[in-house]
Amino acid sequence: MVELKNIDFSYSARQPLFEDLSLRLEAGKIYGLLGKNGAGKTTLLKNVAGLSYIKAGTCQVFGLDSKKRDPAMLEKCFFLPEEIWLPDTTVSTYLKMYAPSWSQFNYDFFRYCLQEFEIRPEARLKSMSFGQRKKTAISFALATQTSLLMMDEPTNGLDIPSKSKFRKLVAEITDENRCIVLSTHQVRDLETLIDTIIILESSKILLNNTTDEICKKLLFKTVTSLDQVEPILYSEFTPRGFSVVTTNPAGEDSKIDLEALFNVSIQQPDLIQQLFHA
Amino acid sequence: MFSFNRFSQQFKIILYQNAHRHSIYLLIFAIYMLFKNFRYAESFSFLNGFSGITGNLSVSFESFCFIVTLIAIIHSVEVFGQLRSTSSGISYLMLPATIFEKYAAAWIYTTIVTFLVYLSTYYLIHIVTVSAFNLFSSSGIAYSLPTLSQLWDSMKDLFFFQSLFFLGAVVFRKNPVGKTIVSILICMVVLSIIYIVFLHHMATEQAAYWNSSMNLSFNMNNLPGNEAIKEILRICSWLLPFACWTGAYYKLKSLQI
Repeated sequence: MVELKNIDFSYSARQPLFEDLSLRLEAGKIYGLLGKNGAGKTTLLKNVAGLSYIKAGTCQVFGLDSKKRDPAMLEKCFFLPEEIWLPDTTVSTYLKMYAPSWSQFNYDFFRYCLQEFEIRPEARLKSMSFGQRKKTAISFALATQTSLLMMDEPTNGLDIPSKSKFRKLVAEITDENRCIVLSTHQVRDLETLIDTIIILESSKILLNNTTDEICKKLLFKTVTSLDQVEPILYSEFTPRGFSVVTTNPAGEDSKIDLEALFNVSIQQPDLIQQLFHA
Repeated sequence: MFSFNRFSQQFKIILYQNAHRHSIYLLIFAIYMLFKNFRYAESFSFLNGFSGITGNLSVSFESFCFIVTLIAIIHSVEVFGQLRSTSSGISYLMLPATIFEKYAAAWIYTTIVTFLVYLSTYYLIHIVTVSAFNLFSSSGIAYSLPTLSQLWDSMKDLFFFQSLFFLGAVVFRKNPVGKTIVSILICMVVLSIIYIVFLHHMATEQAAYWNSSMNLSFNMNNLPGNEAIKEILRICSWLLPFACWTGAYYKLKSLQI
């Protein structure tokens, strides 16, 4: 679906953002794109969408060069940026204006999403709060039914019930033909949704594995004393004890803690490389 | 491959997005033209009452030309208003259509459609006002409609100025009007300097000729190369809109957010 091969990208000649970066995104998966501030998560999504051009390498989306912005690619691809823009009109006029551009647009699903998010179709977009506008934009993005859906910080600005609704709606549109990429810092919001983790660090993809693969090699648990586990890759003191990440030689089952995984990846990138790329 | 469906969809988006604001501009124009027509018709019937003259009435076609060019400039800047911020720019560029389809929709809207809508309004108001006056005051005012050559000239003016701001709107994403005006002024200053240097050079050459021939009459129009400059300027004024439109297209095509 998306194939980036040996790409280089930089905003200035002195500071390369990506060097020889390769990545493959497949249908049927929900990717969580994680990285520190300035790691290039949004830029990577823009490269895929053809909004900013890579300096070297190839970036193909549905077999097409993304920078050509071919309508055949754009019709199957939707990018929802973190800062959303909506025209100065009502929700229903917005729908009339933009929805026909996507031939697969599902009007019923859009109305259903609005209903779930408690947005009135006759409401004026400019008079809405940021969260309400975000929910309208999310509803639109989900209803386009594109095969590739990229969302940059989708839960920013959403209230707690809306975050649950968001997860529910994303889960509803997930199928084996669709690839969803969620770039986020709010890992707890999307922990249950994401099935493949991509960690972007130091101009490269540090990790690109499914949660199952990660849990086979790493164990996430909470212990009362650090003496109870060996060797500790990462630990964090919490009111309930220590949240730790260790290797998982015995193949024990555990629930992934994305925040802990991210921290261990950033603190011990060589170990992560060794564990997952060996 | 050009798709008429996608093009019309883009055109529809432009219409929807600007409908409210642009209809206000049109309404203001209509009120202004109604007022102008009314004043002219009134003065004509007043004069007619005294002298019994009949004939054509000039209904300020110059005003129409000026306003329609101004409106085309405003529309050109607004039609690419989405490029001003990153989030709206993303929304614009991610719409499933080729850059050519997006460009063509914007171009047609800001030139031909704008001109035709305003011209139709101008005609309609003129015909209605004059007919109403003739009906109620039996003044015998003749319709004063612009000739084809006048229309063509006004369209050329519109193309000329619209193309500059159309390019400016794509090149300068933030404050396109101000930056375009400053760029035009800078270009004018540079061209004026070149022209002055050229004139100075020509005048020196002619002075040498006067000295040798004892011909002391000085006439700027007789400067050698003056006709050539006029011809170059005339050709440039023709070519400039095409150059700006082409530049705007390629800039839009290579635009990165």
